[in-house]
Amino acid sequence: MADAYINIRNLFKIYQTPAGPLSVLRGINLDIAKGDFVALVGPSGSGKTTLLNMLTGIDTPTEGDITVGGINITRAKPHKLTKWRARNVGIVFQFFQLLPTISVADNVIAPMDFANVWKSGERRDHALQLLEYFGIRDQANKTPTMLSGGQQQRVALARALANNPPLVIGDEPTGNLDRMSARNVFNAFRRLSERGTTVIIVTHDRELVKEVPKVYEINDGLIGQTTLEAAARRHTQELLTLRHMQVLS
Amino acid sequence: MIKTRTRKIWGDILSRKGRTALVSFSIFIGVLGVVTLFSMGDILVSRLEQDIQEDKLAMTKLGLTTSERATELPDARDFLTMVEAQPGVAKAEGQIISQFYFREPDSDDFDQGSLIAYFTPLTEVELEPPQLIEGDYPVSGTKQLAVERRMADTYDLKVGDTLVLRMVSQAGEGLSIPEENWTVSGIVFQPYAIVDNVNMSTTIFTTFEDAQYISGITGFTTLFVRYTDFATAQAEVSNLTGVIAGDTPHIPYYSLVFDPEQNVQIGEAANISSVLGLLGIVALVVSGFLVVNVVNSIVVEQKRQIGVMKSLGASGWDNVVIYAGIALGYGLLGVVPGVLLGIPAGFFAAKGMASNMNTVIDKFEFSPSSIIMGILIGLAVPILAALIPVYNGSRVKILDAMTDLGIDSSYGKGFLARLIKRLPLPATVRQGISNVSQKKGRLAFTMLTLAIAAGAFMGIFALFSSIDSVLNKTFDTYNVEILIQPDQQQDFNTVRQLIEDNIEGIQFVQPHNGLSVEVEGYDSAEGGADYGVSVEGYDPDAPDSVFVLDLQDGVQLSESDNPNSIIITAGIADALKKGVGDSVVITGAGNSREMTIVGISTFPFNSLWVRWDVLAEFGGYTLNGQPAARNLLVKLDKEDPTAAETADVIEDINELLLAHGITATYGNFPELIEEITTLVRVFQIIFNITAGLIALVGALGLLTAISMSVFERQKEIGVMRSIGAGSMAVATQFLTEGLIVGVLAWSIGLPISYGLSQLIAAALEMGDAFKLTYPILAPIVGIIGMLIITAMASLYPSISASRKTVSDILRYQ
Amino acid sequence: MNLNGKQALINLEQVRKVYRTKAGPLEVLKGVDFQVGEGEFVAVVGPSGSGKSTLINMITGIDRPTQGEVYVANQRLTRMSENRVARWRGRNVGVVFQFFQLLPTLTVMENVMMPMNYVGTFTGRRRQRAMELLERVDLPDVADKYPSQISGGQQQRAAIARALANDPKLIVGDEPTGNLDTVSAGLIFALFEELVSQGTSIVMVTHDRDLAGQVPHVVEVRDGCIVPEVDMRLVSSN
Repeated sequence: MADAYINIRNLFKIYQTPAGPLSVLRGINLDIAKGDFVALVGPSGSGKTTLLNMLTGIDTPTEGDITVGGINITRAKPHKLTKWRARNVGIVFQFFQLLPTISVADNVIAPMDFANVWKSGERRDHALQLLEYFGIRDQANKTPTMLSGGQQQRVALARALANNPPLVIGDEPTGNLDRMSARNVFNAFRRLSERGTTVIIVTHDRELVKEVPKVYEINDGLIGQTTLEAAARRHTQELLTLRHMQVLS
Repeated sequence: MIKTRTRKIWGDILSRKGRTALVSFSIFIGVLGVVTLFSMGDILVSRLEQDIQEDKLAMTKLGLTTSERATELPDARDFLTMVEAQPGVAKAEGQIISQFYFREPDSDDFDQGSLIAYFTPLTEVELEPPQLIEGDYPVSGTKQLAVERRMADTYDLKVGDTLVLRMVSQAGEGLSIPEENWTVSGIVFQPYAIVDNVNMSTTIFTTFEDAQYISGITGFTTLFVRYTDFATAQAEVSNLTGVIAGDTPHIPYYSLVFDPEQNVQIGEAANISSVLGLLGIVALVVSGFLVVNVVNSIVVEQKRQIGVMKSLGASGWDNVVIYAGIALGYGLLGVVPGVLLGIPAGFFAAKGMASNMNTVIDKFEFSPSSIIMGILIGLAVPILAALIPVYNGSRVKILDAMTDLGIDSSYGKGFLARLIKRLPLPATVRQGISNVSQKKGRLAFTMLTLAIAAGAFMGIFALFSSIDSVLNKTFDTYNVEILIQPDQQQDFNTVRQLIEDNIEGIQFVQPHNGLSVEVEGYDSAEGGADYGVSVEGYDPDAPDSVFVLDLQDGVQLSESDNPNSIIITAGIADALKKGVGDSVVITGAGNSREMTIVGISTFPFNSLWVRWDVLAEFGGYTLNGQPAARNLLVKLDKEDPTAAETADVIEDINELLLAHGITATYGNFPELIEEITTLVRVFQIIFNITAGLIALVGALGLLTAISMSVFERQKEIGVMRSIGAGSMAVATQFLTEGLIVGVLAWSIGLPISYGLSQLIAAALEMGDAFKLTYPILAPIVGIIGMLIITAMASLYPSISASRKTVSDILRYQ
Repeated sequence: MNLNGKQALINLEQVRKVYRTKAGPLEVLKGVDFQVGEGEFVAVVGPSGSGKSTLINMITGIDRPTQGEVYVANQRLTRMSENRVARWRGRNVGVVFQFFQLLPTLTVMENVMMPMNYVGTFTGRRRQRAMELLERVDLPDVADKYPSQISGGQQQRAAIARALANDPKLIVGDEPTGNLDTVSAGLIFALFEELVSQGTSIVMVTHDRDLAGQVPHVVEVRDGCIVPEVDMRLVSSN
């Protein structure tokens, strides 16, 4: 898959901690095609968030390369990376992370302002169109805290799409929502991938993940395309062994 | 791009109204202080500079009296011509300045005021002339007078109004004093401070002839002389006094020398306003520390938002603009009302201070330079203060921002951490100390603020308690309430008998002479003025002496047989390097004499004391060939009489003496003490308000710092509560933090206060006599005040910390 | 939940929790009945936002219900002041957090002593007891270090020692293994099982379904309601 949109090659990440070096990613190789809808799963601390941070360029690997759309983002300079990210990646966070002191519409306009995309006179119209698309245009002039969690996450989605990025990344985007809202937001991600946007999400939600075409499990810094049940079995096995060892010692 | 930044700036400023109010309020206070105090000074100084023309200032002012030789006074014009013929003299002007008694036609009681008449017609006066504001100058023989504008304001007098004057010149034994109606022909403004005891709110001007007619005084009471230059004035004044004493019946009993380039009035106004203005700038700079803390806390709080913005494509520069913009926003919110309020406040402060500076501010004035300064400093301080935290904020990495867990995860490596670990203290207190040590940067600013405030307070406390002790010492030295100075020479014993026989409640009446002299080898010039050294001549042998001299060495005059004995102050003794037994040469009223020092007094203002009869003889003041007393000093039976009680006795004495044809000028010591004390209190209040503003800003800073501490450690508070900490334990921790800061600030404030009191004393040009002492009470009051302020400033955040429920905190995440 | 004759240590009766948000009321718990017997080991699972954290906050008294009653160790928490609850919690409940939450400016030893200081227990032998507890979690060597100087797994064990300081009947963990690698997580879990075998009750929230599979009782919370108990051992061995 040399022509894949995203190439991850031999990716390592090692943190220095007071208790010694900690390998969070231990040689990840992964290709993702344009328009793919990908879910990363795995227990807390397995390294999936770290991998996601590498994809958006906000963390740098200890070793290995990532190319996105032909650009090696692990080798780019920070300020170039900022510009690249502004136009090419939309990020959706678990806790929405809307700027609390400016209006919903202004939150959606912010990335356009920062990246200087669209003519300044058109930005508001474009933001309102996006909000319309997510069914929250009537909330445009409120501040984010006046919205429910589901609504806030839809604003965050609209914001992520402001500059029409080819790649959208969600870090547990439904993790803080009730079933109904989670379903809505998930459907929105799915529609995006159907329109040709590459979507990568991290999720803990076992039901929603069943509907994702490609699921990769990350476990102790290693990756495998798998089903959850298989992962669960293997994980349990490891634990049982460990406990056994503990009891013996 | 500009839009999102602007919206974020104002969104942030408006969303935390409490914090915005705190910061903007402290900048507001600082700007208000700077604009008000500098405007006040600028308005006053420019008013004085406009009114006081350097080339019209007298360089020498002589007080004249006459001795018994003055049966025939020389013609006034001839006298002035003679003075102008003296070496170096450019211009001379003679006046009658005397007391007069007046009432409004519908009033029964007479008030006392000053009557001033220049020998030269008012239209032609060249030395320290009054200005005509309304109407006309009075014309001789038409019973016209001009009132000073401050008198016109006080008594609501208009041109054409009538005043009833007592013709004291026509008083005589058995005669009633006639009253006459005089018309106000004009209103004048006298910007020059003529002589010290003239109160402009009861001052009238008449022609010279009319003044003689009203007061009965024929010759000059004061003489103004302008020399070609100040150096000549200094060199020639003793020659002039010698010539007057030797060749005319006039006796110059005081001589003052002024440098027109260092006008005392302007100098004082400029000094006071610059000292106060500097304190205002300190308050503003101190509010900058608060801005540092707040912007820092915003950056810390919004670390995650910074990360989000960066992940949306915001550059470091965008973040610099946003957070510096917030600081600028705070600045604007403080500067705009500060300037708007400072403009009228400066005007009213100047108006209020005007009477102390012997001037009048009537119509609205403002000081453009002070306004510009207020705006520039008010905006520059927050922006400069915000630079470092903003720079740090712009460098926040997205990853750090998004993974920040709220608890500092690197504690324990530093030297302080290891030191604190060893302290044998309860864990809660140690936690407080650790927190202080961890937030060194932030708390350093707060501490500095409080230290400056504490320093200012203690310094001002020390300064004013020193001033108080100097004043008390001065007041205590005068064991007397009333000074009577007859306009014409009188026999002391006759007048004393008259008073003792007719007035009740008199303890004693004693003779007094006063003269200003030069002391050989001693330079009495201070600032732009040389008042000479005053010699007090009194009767040391009386059972109750009028002067209660506290001696550090030697004996009282009563214990010395040598008539040429003199007591000098420690200040003069130090300057001359002389002590008891040494001799000192004094020169005055055309005479010189070698006196023997018998005692050194601790009196704070440099003075000399001799026997009254020796001084009379020295100054040529005689009656029937015998030394005479020019003044009478009266002590009342009543202990510590009030100014009003003393005034009542003065009125009785005045009526009594007038009935015997004796006109006199009266001094009311309790009133003088009251006036001086009030003036000192006014300055004390102004200084303390300024220090209070600094303290307020400091307290706000501490409040913010501790609140930030509470905010940042919400998670910690939650954890503490989860493992069983009660409200008290949580509150105690933050209170401890505040008090530690307070005590440290106080100890830094100690040396600051010492230096500051020296500095202010020097800037105010308190003079040689003023000895600054540092009372032990200052640091005690300081630490008590500091504990109260810091306890109050940390109480609110402590309580809010203790009230935080764990669920509030956890829901925040 | 079937108590199998054991006395109820925790009893939640018809607990409702409604948060007032600017977007309107948000019902997080919709009338929950929940019991835990003495010496039981219960895992609470469910997706984020389902209400499981709110549920355990009710047990620790950290949060209060809008309606309903909460009894823990015969105390009616719903009627106690916030301050009294803090003291009560310090004495009767040990709380273990996902991110360890040791107080950063105190040493490990002092962290373990803190709960005793706060509620005034074990006067005079706090240091000795703290050392015993650290030995119990196998951390005697790091007693004088600061939290930042030890690994995550060690920090969590120290946090457990702290939770045990006042000898509580109940330990509540909010994803106690959520931030640990599998080896450290295994050690913590083993420690919990040991505590349960000694009669301590443990309620812990976890995202880790494998770990939940090891716990005798698993309670699933979903959209503010408790779904009937599933035995994870059956699921995983299937």
